[in-house]
Formats: sequence, C-alpha cells, structure tokens
Amino acid sequence: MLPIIVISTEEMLRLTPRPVAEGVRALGLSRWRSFSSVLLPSALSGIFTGVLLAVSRAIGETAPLIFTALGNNFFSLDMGEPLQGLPLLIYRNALNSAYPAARDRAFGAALVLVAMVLIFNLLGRWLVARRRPGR
Amino acid sequence: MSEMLGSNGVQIQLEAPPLAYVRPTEDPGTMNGPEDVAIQITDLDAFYGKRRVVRDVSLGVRRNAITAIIGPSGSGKSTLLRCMDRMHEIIPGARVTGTISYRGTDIYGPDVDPAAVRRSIGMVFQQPNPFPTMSIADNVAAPARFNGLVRGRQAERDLVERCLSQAALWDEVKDKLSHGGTSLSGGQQQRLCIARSLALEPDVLLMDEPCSALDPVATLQVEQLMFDLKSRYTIVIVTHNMQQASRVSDRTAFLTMGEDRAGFLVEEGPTVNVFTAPREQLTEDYISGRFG
Repeated sequence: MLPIIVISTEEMLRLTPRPVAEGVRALGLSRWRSFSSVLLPSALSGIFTGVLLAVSRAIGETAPLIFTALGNNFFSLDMGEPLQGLPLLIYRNALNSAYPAARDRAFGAALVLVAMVLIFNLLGRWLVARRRPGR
Repeated sequence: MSEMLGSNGVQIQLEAPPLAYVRPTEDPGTMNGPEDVAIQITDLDAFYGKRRVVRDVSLGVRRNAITAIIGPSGSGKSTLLRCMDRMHEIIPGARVTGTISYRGTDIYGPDVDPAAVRRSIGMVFQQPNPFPTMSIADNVAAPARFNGLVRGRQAERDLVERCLSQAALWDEVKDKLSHGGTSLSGGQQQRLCIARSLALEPDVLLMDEPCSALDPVATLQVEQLMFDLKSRYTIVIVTHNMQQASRVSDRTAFLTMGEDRAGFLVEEGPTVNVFTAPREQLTEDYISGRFG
C-alpha cells in the first residue's frame, strides 16, 4: 500500500504545471507557502486518487495474508500479533460453505468489504470536490 | 495614437487614446539622467551550469516607461528578464555574475532576500498561470494575504476590486468572483495574473511574452492595459513580435546571439530610433528581416 501511495503522490506533485510553480515563486512566497497553498492543493485530487486506489487494493488482499500472517480467529487489539482480515474471513468461511452459518458469514463479510470500499471512494471524491472553487 | 495595428494587420479602433496618464511634457522614450533609471544592470553574465547564456549586458531600464527586449530565439531575452527579479536562479545550476541595482541596492547583494525582490518586481509569464485551486478573488488576494500586505475581509474585498479594476477585468468578473480562476478565457486569465502581481504593490512589472498565447483581441486588451499602467509602473516586456515592440514600447533593447552562443546586448535606445535609425548593422539586419 505505502509504495503505491508514495509513488503516486510524488508523480502528482511533479505534475504541477511549471508556469504555475514558477508563478508562485515569482510572487515572493516562501517555499513552504508555495507548497502548502498552491502546489499541494492542486495535486490533492491526484494524491487522494492514489491513496484510494492503494487502500482499496490493500483492503482486498487475501493471498499475501494466507502466505504470511495467517490472520487470527479471535478479537485482538495487540498490534504485535496477527489480526483478522475481512478478505481472510471471507476466504475461510467460503471454504466451509456447506454450513449455512459459514456461508452467511462469508456473504456478510463480503458486503461489509464492498461497502467500505464504496464509502472510501465516495469520501475521497467528496473531499476533492469540496476543495475546488465553483465554475 | 488612437488606433493601432492589430497582430493580424487589421486596423482596430481603441476606445480611449493610450498614454493618457503620462505627463505631456515628459517623453518616456528619452533618458534624461540617472534619476530616470529604475533598474541598472551592470556587466551581467548569466549561466546554466558551465554554459554562458547572457554575456556582458549593461543596461538601464527607464522608469515609468515600457522597455521592450527583442531578439532572435536563444539570445537570452527571457534569461535577462528573469535575472531582474532573481527568478533565473530557481533553476538548479543557474547562476549570475555582475550587479543589478534597484533603488540603490544590488539585488544580488549578500543581505538581500530574493523573495523580497520578487515582491517589489512582479512577473507575468507567457502562459497565463492562475492558481488552479483558487477562486478569482483568492487568486488576487491570497498572495497579498500570505505576504501580510492585507488583513481582514473588507480590506481583501477592496484590494480585489482595486487590482481587478486596474487590470481592466473587474466589469467582466465582478459577478463571479468565487468561480475558479481557470474558468476564465486565456486573455482574462492573463489579466487576472497581472492583477495578482499588482496586488503586491510592485513598482516594476516584468512580462515574458505575455501575449504570445493570446488571440489578437486579447493581445490588444493587454497592450492597452500596459499603456494604462506605465504612468505608475516600470514595465519590461520580452517579445518575439517586433510589431508589438514597436507598438507598445518607449524604449527597445536588441539582443542577439554571439559566436559563443551567448546572448549579448547590441543596442538600446528610444524605440523610434532603434526601429528607424539603428546604430548597429546587426540591429538593422534583424529589424529589416535579413536575419532571425
């Protein structure tokens, strides 16, 4: 997740048109002011998109979990231990889909997962749209 | 001068005669003495890394006049202009030797803050560059606010109205100040950028081919604006368009590229003289279209 965010953020900041970037400097603003008031806001929608893509992708990762942490069937707040992941929950319960309860859990978890991705996406779009002046 | 030749060669009638604000006794084309010099450039060399792109330029820019810098591509016109507000050095590896004195101080002196130089010497670029995430009003007010020049909502509103009026844009945008700056047409965007520069109360405006991305009508509006502004500001304009230089400027500086591929100043003087009776053969060749 992090590598995707870092790369997309860097690219988005680089994409700021050179005339705009120079225009800010020519107004005698400090580097930090230039960055925070013009460069960052203009790259923000791209950065959000990158973060959303990365989160949406990471949230659905199953295979890496199976081959590494393996998840945890019990509730835990200990950051040093494996935690349960939604995709893992779906995977395990779907394997036992002969049992109605397991099948229902798998479908329920899938619904929650899809809803979370949807909410993330809507939230991101709303944040981006809110920062843009009307036309 | 109530009518001017448009870029397309068509006579276009202007509403008001230009030069209205200049005192009639004063000819902005002539330099009467050191008191008429706004920016004095002395022995300026500009480099990108090891390559010298501007060589030995010494030039006095007249106050309250429009000075045009003309010359072929690669003659260092834009570089020279960018040296005047220390924008040259923001490119990695770029450096400058020589002095540029403005209000009696060398702007390349050790104690000089480049940001402070850029606040009193404004710059307008070839491509209109309003800030994409800001409204029209914020485009004008935000830089002034960040530099601590204006405080409070009412003061900001007054500043926005004053600067947009000065840039001859107020009537066109007063009902949509909260709209995005990039929603305007190219010519309006360029005038917005001029208004944004004016908000910092500079006394010099540097313009780097401000009309080359604009259509003939928008070009005329910007040129008219330059006429209106020169009673209060000193304007330096880099232009590829020699008709534009002869139309708008009071003084003209001609640069060309030497054999070492560095630009140097051939001559500078009243526009009328440079265009009709140039002192140098190089200038005459360029003006008459034999070179460049």
